[in-house]
Amino acid sequence: MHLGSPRLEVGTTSARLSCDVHHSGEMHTWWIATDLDDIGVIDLGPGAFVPVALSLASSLGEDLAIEAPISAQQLHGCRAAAHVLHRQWGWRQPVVSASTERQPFVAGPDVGLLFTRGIDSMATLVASLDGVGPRVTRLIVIDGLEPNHSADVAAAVWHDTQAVAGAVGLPIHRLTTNVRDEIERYIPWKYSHGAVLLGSALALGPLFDEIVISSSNSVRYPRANGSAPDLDACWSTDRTTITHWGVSMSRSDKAALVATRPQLAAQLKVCWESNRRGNCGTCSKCLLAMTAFTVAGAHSVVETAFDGPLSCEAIRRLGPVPSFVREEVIEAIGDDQSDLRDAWRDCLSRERNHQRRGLAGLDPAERFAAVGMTLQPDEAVGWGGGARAIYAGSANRQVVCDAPAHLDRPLRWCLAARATPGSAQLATVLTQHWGHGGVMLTDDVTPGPPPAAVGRLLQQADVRCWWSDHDHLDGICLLEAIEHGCVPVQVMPDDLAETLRAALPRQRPAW
Amino acid sequence: MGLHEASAGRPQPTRLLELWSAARQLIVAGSMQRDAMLSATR
Repeated sequence: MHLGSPRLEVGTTSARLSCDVHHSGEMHTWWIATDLDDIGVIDLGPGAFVPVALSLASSLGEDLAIEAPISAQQLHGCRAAAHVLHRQWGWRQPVVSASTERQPFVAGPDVGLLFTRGIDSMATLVASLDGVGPRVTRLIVIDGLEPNHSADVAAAVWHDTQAVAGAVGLPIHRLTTNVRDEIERYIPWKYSHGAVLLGSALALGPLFDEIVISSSNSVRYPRANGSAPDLDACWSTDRTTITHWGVSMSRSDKAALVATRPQLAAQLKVCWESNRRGNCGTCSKCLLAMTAFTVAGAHSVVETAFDGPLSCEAIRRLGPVPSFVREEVIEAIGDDQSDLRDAWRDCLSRERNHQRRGLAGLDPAERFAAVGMTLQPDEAVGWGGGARAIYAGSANRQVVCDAPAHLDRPLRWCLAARATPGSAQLATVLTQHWGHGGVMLTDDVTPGPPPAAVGRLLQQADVRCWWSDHDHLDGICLLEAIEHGCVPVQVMPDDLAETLRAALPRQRPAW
Repeated sequence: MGLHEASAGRPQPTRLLELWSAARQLIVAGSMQRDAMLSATR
């Protein structure tokens, strides 16, 4: 990857710092824009683009050459960040080549807070106002990042954010950027948001002695995340120190703190799924926030900041809840709110069962429920290794007995599975040694193919193979294969296969 | 099967039919055992 020298383009309402970036064999232009009022404090160096460039180069496995000089601190930080990214996500540590020079201006006296009006940054702001947090003197907003907001809604949201800044008497700076759009094709937002937000804020580096980003995680629930104390600190420059604040506070602590300022709490903005100015009160992020306020005893915030009441039924209706704060929020629910806790537990149980649904649509929990049995979310389904055998009722049993194997289909084999290193290795082996076949690997980030498409693939193949390094024969993949007329073949490390063979009923042939 | 066996190429049709039959027996025998357990407890 090559990060070119930035150039400043001045328009009628904004100033834009642009940078040509060559990666993946293509040329891209990244930009960060500010209002014209801030043109005098834009950092004209490449420092604002460095965090994202380093992250992307690491994930792509490319080295990084930076054309213009950067601060020595930031170059040192790049190497430390590469180490963190390698540890967190397994990305390659790129060789970073850049010259260094002292940044031309001394730091301004200010402390900027990256501000979204979410619980985390609102809690940091309240802590600052109370004199128990960082001494925030300016707010920084990276605007236009919400994927579901129309221009009208985005304008209204920005208006409300300005009103909060006015209410607390702090200047506010707005930046926009295309960097999220540019890199989201390669890196999911949860891996990159710290680099995008902090990098963009560094475009106004000459203003700030310190830039504060609010922690989403608490120390009790450490998770690999695109914004974390050790990673964020790496993006500091000679002039501006990056601080990751709030790790010692739980979600409930933050909710309780925000609730002490009712006027600010009423201006919370946590909802991003719906195209609305306020908070829908029904999406997972809203419901988690409402739960945190309820646990903190701040029922009035739920009434003023959300468009509907907290509903256990809404929680039970939720789809997957991707938030990494969910366990923290749910575990904080006390016995006096057992209805709320049960609703969240039901939601998570359904999600965990859903996650192990077969790619062709077989839902093991449903199969058990159909015969009056309950499958716990953590129970393995299959044979051997303590797994629970999947149950076929008498009608299904007859179908299984009558089903013929097909060894004359267009594909000699197929591999439809979730992407893992083992699955990828198996795809290579089968492609090399088994002749004409089909591979369909899905991951947790990209929406997978619909079950019907996977079913059609199975119907075109003689054999369904899958990889396993568990200690049991996978009942879900096996039953899906049988039901589509495919011979099921679970491929495993040789030693595990040997152990499993011994654990399966003896009259069966070797798997 | 082990990765070593898979690396030796696609099994012959007789072996595949053997695997097919074994898979069906696992499903059916396991379910019948379950039925027997349930009827014994009634």
